[in-house]
Amino acid sequence: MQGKLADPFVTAAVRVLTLELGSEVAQHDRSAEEAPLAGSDVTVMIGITGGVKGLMALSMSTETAGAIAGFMMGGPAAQLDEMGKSAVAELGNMIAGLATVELEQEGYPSNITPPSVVTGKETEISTGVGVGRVVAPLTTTFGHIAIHVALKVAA
Amino acid sequence: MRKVLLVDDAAFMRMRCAKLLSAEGFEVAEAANGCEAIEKYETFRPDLVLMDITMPEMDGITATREIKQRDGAATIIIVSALGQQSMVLEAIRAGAKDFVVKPYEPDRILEAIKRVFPQ
Repeated sequence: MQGKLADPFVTAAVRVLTLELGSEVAQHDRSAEEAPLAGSDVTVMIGITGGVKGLMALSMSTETAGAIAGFMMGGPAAQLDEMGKSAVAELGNMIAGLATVELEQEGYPSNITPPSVVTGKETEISTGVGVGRVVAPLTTTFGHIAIHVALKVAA
Repeated sequence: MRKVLLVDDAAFMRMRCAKLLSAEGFEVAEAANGCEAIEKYETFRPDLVLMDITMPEMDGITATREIKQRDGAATIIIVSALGQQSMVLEAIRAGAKDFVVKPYEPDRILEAIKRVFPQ
């Protein structure tokens, strides 16, 4: 079930990264993780509520986030200042938003929370819903991005 | 000069859209959530509001409803990543004139605006 609920987010990520960044996107083997999300420079988190509950996160290196933010702002790789973080957060918002369209079609009408950006490798993020994460690694022309999805069907 | 109020909690999206609309000759003001949008609407009196949905403090559907209650002639286009059918219907019921799903090409926003201001 976890894998099925993750599908809309991976599909949406490929579509948004292609459209927004003009990047080719390669998908790699997914894994299931039980431990808290840790070890990433930059993590964008979005809560999912409604028919399913949990979170979606994007994790990437500072270099990848800077390159993405720079491209989205129409320039070279950018410092990850507040505007840069806002650009990367918006990418997560678009992915989660697009995924809710497919979730609704699958019978799980859902909503999303505003994104938040956490920086620092030392940060640990727990899913808070008692389920593990599906991790889907992607490679773009800007670097590697991992999509983390921890969702369960709401009671 | 036509006035557009941009409502989005993402500073980046406001910056990008403001740049696009300023280049097209619109006067632009910004708000970062629904509460700010209602306040700004009263002072700026825009010809058009571009409204996000998912925002802290007050979401865009609630803000659309509030603005339409205060000014039935207000013209509001929703610009959101939430493109599910139920959300589009809710936005239209709240009084939105159109719904643009993110990510969008700049032309998509300009076309939606042209439909509102046909001349």
